[in-house]
Amino acid sequence: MNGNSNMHWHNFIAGDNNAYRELYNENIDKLYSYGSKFSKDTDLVKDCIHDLFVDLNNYRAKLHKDVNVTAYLYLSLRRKIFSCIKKKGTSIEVHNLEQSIFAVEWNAEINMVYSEEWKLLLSRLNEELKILSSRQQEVLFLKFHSELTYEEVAEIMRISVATCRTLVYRAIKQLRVKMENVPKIALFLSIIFS
Amino acid sequence: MSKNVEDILSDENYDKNNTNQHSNHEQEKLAAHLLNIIKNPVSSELNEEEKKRIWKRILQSNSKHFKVKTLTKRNWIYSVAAAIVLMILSYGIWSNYSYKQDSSLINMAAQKRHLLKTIEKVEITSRNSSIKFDSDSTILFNALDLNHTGDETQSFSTLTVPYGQRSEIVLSDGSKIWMNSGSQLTFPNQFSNDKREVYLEGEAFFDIAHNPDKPFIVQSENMNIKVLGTTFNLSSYQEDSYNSIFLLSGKIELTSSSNRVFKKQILHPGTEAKLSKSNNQLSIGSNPELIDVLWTKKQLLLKNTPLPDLLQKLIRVYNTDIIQDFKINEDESFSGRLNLNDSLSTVLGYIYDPNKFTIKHTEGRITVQKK
Repeated sequence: MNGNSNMHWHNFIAGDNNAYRELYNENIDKLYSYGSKFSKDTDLVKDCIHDLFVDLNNYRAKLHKDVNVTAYLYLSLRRKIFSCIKKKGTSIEVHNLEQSIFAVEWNAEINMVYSEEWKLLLSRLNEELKILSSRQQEVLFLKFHSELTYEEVAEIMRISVATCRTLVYRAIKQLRVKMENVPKIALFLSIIFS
Repeated sequence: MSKNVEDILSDENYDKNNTNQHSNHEQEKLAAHLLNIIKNPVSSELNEEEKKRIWKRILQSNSKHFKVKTLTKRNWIYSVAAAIVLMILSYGIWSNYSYKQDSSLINMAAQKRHLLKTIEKVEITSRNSSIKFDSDSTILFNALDLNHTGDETQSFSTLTVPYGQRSEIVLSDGSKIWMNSGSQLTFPNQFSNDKREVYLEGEAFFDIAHNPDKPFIVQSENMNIKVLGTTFNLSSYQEDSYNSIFLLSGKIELTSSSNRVFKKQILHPGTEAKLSKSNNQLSIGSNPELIDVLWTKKQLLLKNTPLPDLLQKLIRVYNTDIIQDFKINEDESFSGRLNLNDSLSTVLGYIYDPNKFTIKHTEGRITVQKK
């Protein structure tokens, strides 16, 4: 997947418009999914993706050939969305923007295969996920949902790789600790799967 | 083995696809469940149509960008260009003419293809030719290159008709061609002695002057057509799922281009050949309604045309994005005749009941909202 994007990236810079289209097709879902976590305004997210690809075309000749394409696209979209939201000047406190807007609906489907105890535990986990900080949510989203490497996530969030690792580690630890405060019995009851 | 959840999950070597929710190890089990949740948040998805629409808008903006550049850099020329049709002269010379004529025609067409996406006005790229404007939309084209021997060099012209516009062209042999929105025709400035050959991208209606000594050959991405003197419509848009040819009069020989394989077909008047790109099926049927050719008269005839197809056509003709803030009913279809001289808002007024929908027109796009 990544190899493809890299190839298309090179061809795109060399002037191939089919590669331009392929870049769009390959990344549109991931980008939209990521972008929509910043704003509920779907038109804003679509506009930003539009602007991103128009910019790519405009600066085509000046783009670097050796970039991590995925990280580059995520990062560019992130910047676009921030500046869009700032321009709109909504009620969000602008200086706090990056800390406050990334929100994932971690609404896991808790289905039939879990025992009552596990269901309880998992719905608790859902609650805990919601109160993670925006940065923690974003780092988890990029690392585990988008399945990016630490290097890529760090680049997108403009933090060091070490900070990025720590951020992931602490977020999960926080969740684990909260889980262990759930009455022990929930954990020790065995689960019988049909 | 006292690994905690955070140790397990933050390890880059942890196999995310092979987690074990049934593990006896509590921490591993919890890790697997946690991963399952954070891996699959409620995701917002775009449907295919929305994705296409955004892509279309990107291409449109790219061509607008081109226009803005022209405006600022060459203000003086722009005011002239706005009044008449913009012409940029360029030329393509192939010194290896004797090698193979066909491939240079296709090469030329491929080279000019990007113009479709970047030009907003009708444009002719050619060498040594005169262009006359018959009425406001017809272009009379005549190659002046009479000294040209044809043995050493071969020069081509390309006519580009952007989205939102249509144009007519008369070739040097008297053949008349109506070009639909977003189409491009590449042809030699002078036809060779034994054949008349052109390359089409997009859609055009051909009225070919009869000449039994010089067959007229239309090449396109997937189909090649050989005729002596006929009227027919060829639709070969890259973005459409099928290509079609409809024969009005005369007889044509249809063969596949090098991109496709199908058996040679002879078409008779009133029949339509449709090539589905996905399964490479060529189907031949009769088409007495002349649906495909009414666009030359600025009419769009609909016969159980599905709403998405209809919108796609309108977007192309008016070069305007149509956005609905609700999910359209893909099964809805329309029959009847639309007059494309009307404004897009008016046409949409026929499709969407004005009592139930609001139609808002902003620059470059139209938004339809439920009341």
